[in-house]
Amino acid sequence: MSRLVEDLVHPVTGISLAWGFLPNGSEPMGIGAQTTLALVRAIFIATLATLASGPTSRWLATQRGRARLLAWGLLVVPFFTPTLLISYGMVRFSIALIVSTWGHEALYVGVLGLKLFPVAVVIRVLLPPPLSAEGCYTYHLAAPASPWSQRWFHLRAAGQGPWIAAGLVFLLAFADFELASLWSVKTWTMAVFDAQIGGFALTDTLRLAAFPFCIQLAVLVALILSRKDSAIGRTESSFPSRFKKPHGAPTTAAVQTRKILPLRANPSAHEFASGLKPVRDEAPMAQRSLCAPFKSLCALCGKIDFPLWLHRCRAPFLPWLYLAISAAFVTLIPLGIVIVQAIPGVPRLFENFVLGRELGASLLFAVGATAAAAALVTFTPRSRVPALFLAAPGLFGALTISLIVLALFQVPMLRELYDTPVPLVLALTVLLLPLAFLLGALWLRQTAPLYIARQIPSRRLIWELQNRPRAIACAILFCWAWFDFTASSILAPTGFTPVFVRLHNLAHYGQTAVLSAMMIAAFATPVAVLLLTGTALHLYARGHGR
Amino acid sequence: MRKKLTLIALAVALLIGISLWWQAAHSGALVVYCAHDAIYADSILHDFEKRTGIPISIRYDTEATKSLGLTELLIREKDNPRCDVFWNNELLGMTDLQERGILQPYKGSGYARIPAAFKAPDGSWTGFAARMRVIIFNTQKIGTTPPNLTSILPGTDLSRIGIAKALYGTTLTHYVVLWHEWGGGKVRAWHRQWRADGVKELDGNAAVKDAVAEGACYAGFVDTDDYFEAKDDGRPVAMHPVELDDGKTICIPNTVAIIRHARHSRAAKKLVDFLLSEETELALANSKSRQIPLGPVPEDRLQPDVRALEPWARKGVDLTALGPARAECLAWLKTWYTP
Repeated sequence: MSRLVEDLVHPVTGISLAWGFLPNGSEPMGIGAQTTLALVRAIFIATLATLASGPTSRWLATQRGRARLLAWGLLVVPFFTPTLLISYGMVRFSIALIVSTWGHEALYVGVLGLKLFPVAVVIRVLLPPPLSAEGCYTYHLAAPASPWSQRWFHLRAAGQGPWIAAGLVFLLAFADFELASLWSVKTWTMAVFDAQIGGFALTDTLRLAAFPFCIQLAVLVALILSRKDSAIGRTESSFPSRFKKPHGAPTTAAVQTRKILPLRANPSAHEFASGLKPVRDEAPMAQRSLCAPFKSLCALCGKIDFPLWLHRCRAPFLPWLYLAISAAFVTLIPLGIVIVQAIPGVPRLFENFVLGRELGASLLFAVGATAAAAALVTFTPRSRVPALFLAAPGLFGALTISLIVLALFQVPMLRELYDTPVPLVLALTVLLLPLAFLLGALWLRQTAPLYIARQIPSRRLIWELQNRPRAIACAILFCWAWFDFTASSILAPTGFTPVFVRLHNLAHYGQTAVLSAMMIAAFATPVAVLLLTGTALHLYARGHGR
Repeated sequence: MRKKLTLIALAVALLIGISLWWQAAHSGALVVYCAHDAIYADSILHDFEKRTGIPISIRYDTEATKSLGLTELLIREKDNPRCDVFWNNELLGMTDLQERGILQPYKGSGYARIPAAFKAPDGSWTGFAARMRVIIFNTQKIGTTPPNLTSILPGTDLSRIGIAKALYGTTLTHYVVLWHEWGGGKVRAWHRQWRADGVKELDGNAAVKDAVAEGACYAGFVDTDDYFEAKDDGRPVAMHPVELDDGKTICIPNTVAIIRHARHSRAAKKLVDFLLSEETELALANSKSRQIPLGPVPEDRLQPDVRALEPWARKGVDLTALGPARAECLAWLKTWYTP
């Protein structure tokens, strides 16, 4: 006993108490405090992601061919990695950090940040600054002396991209539930979940969520307002015309200008989507350096003259290093651990395969939600307002949406549908819509080549230019729905549990060979389904192509 | 516009069709809500399904919200129940459901073989196959002498002690027992003191077991089945039953009940008798979870670990009279966790 007491005297608690945001435990942590904690985390993650996303998006635009594909793959893979895989793979690491409040917090914030950073980059790619790099450069040549004018200029020159990226990352980080629940992190979503499970009436639970909900709503309204054309117009019209980027995609003029000026224009969504290849020029230091994020920060603060050490700081490999570390930490290492453990468990799993029903349930829900989300994106008018209003609810997070859908199907008129697949498919569809509209913005654009392909008409060309991107978008949505846990655990009908709810429960028993094999089966199934579907579609297109 | 409206109408019709088909397809299945670990309950329930040919539709609870989630769901569904049989992994939730009039009394062949201390006199619910509340400790960190966690002095650093969130499962039962024994004021002060001293509050007993098995925590409160999992994995752990001030232990049985207005009452009765049978108790006793049979079973058919637990289980505190303590304790815990 004395040894226990000796061992119990540990400096960690004292350190953890020093951080004012974290509870000291002697008093309950109210929903307000938990919301504040989530707010601080979300602001921190959103700020870092926004600052780093600018240089990263520009660096991505410089990559070509396989390197480009690899870079994009490494970038987005953490976002699509299921939290259960991360949690299960890192279970020993996270357990070791349990005693350190700081370490545990750092792990959570780090993983969440790495998972959400790709969102910021994709938004920055989709929404490049309204001002061309050339215009920016010209402004620097004739820049006014006042630092405040320069600061104001840089804030406007960044356009909407950083704000929207920050807003989206904030919303996703703030509403996180799955990772928080797996790692017992204190946040408002956990408090709401406890209230729901602990027997609060649904209205009381939702009332508890009102304050965080208001925060999300405020951010969402700001995002929607910032996407209105008027806002863009105001930003662009406030620049003298000589600084403005020509309308439309990066023009030939802009690309040619890059040969003259040692600056790189930001890629537009069109460039990203169509694979337009700008002329390769000499590597501009600003985009490839270690200090690009610092330079972004300096620029936003109006500090144009970077210190000399910042200029000398060149490290073209650093973006690759970041992408490799991020993908390895969040995806590859947990996946590797699970695969290694699964090898002896695979034969035992197949001796008595018990996941068939769960896999079937996941397949049904994922297909249903993907079809519904894809149909809504396709049939929604091209105007931004309906799209934003359809996509916005999904940003409130799986927990809030699931509770609202649960309440909806308790009303007498809909009660008959309560214990059926409909509530879960509906919730998944709502949750998929933000991503669906984002992918739609990326890949469902009418381009000149597509117009020509339709005129010919060539089924193969249409497949290449239209249907293949759509199929990829649907595949991503399918995976997103497949890996859902929160909505499934609340809304799945009796006797038809999706596979990740089952695995989530089993994962509490620690790592075993059979469970790892089950995980691999759960991850391999969507891959197999998508490969088979993709191959069939490809063969169909080739067979009928011209 | 007309085309879009037609498509929307078709989609709605399709959804309604799927729902109707779904309900028709599942109308014959016996609906079981099961708070017991799926890993152990699955084989038992599927065995029943095979033997009787009665199809079963099972809803398991999530690990983190063991028992309380399904108990609350049953309360919400009181007016329109979907569940036929509730297999709970603890007792106090059942007494709450009994008081609310949600359970249908049934005294079958299984009820008769269970001692009176573990069943409702009116047959609303019946206990079987129990687990014990124990202190698990890491022998590499603190040796083989069991720590006496209940007598730790205030101000001691407890950052290496783990306990599950008290709002759910058997940790809730543990709290309720203490509430009954000590009184609410002492439990509240103890709870506050332990949090102030840095005790690690984790999601569930399994997380506590993992933390102790890995050596991140040196000791913690779990159930016997959690301990045996760690032991079977070859982890350096040992355990000692939680003893109250009067030397009594906390022995928590599984419980089973039929829901009032169950749609499949005949099949439900068959399942309840099956779960309360000697065969099921032996199966659970000889499974990895080593659950202690409450009814008479041949001793020679029990594994040694279970036989060793039986004397401790006989010293178990009477849980059937803790209904009021549960209500008070749970009300306070709710204000603590969701203030």
